[in-house]
Amino acid sequence: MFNKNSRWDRKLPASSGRLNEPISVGVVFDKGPKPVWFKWKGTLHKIEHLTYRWKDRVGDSMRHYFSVDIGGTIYQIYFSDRELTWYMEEVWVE
Amino acid sequence: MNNFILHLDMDAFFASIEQAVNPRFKGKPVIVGGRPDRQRTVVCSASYEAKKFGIESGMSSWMAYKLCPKAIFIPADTAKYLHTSHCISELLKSYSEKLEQSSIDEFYLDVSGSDVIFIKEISHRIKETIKQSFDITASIGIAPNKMLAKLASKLSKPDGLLIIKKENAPLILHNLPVEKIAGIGLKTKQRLNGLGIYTCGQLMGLPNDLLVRYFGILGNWLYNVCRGEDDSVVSSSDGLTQKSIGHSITVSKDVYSQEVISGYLLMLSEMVGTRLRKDNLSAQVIQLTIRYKDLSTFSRQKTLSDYMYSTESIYKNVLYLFSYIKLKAPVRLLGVGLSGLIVNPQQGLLFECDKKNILLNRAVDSINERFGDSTVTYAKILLLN
Repeated sequence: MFNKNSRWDRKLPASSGRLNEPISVGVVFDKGPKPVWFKWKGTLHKIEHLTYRWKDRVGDSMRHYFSVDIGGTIYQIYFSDRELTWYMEEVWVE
Repeated sequence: MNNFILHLDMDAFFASIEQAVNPRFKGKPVIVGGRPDRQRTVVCSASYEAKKFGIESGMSSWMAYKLCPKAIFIPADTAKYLHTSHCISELLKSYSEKLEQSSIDEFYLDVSGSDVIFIKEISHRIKETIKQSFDITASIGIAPNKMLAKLASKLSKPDGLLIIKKENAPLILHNLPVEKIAGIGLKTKQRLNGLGIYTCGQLMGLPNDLLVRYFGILGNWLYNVCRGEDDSVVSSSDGLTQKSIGHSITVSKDVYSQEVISGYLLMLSEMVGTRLRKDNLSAQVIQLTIRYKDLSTFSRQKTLSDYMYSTESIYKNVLYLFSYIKLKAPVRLLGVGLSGLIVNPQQGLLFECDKKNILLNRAVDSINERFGDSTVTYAKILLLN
């Protein structure tokens, strides 16, 4: 029987590649929140394509994750409902 | 009443999700798992493009790299996969309450009583919803029982839909290689091949008593499955149906030191203990598994007169089992398992009497529940990192 509580990754040290930098995000609500732009390191990035969304509970905080495509670069951003803040987590450059 | 089981199996689940996250990975060999330059990491999922190179789940990442140096290796992101799995499970529940999730990417749905045309229609709808919501595909098998439904989804992969009706089953099974049946692993396959049995049709030719004599109770099962017969039921998952809780770890470097091994055993005890308490269970049986560097594996088990609930009692008993083992070589894998589970009464525990320890465990669990796993943990475990 599948048990979703058996998560090894919770015990592993946090990935050093994570940025976790606070960012400003513009959001529209269209069947749920949909980020349309974000401002990171002083630059405004217009989101071209929302490729995936998911949630993850960390303690009592729910993180709402979005991966977005801007000109071939994939940005992974999340909203923490405990801190009410958006964060830039990862950037994947081809 | 028509008996129909629907088996849904996601196609290259983790790899497909990563291809959806990054559309530039589509059409390319993608491998989710450890980096090939790291020792002992394995392929968790391979895209169909990677599978063409002979890459399979469970294969070492190093071997996968050798087969396809151009493959894109992506570290597994469990949260992403679990969320998607949960959404698919919720989608399926809207069609039938009789849902069994057998793994993160496999589901059985009991749709008995429905018309086959209707089941086919809802199968298409499920596949379409998954594609639209996540940009990934699923294969569905429909058959009178779980074993045939799983076979049908396997034969229809990727992105397929196959119905095996009772009357068609013998024809499909006749030339089917025995290893295509879920549950017939490499060892059983080799033993059957040793008897000159390669297909289910050939297996059908063997009498039940001969199979039982040769394979024990497995012989009965073989006799039935090669005929497409399976009476197992779709059982909805909940804590009460859980028979055991276990965790194991392959250490990054073989260990011989008793001190380091006991650190890993404490970590495993905490992991199984946390899950035990989360489901409000106590356990009577504890098992310790050890694998040496040459991959030889053995287990030691102990049934207690009372029940375990706290991490400390689990750790104490696993250390007791370990104290009787004289290590012959460095250890590659350690595992701790609990079974003989019972549900605790609402008002407290019946068996474990160290109340202070129980309260401490509950307090630590609630802190970790609120602020994230390992917020409070043992210094001995932190030293392992």
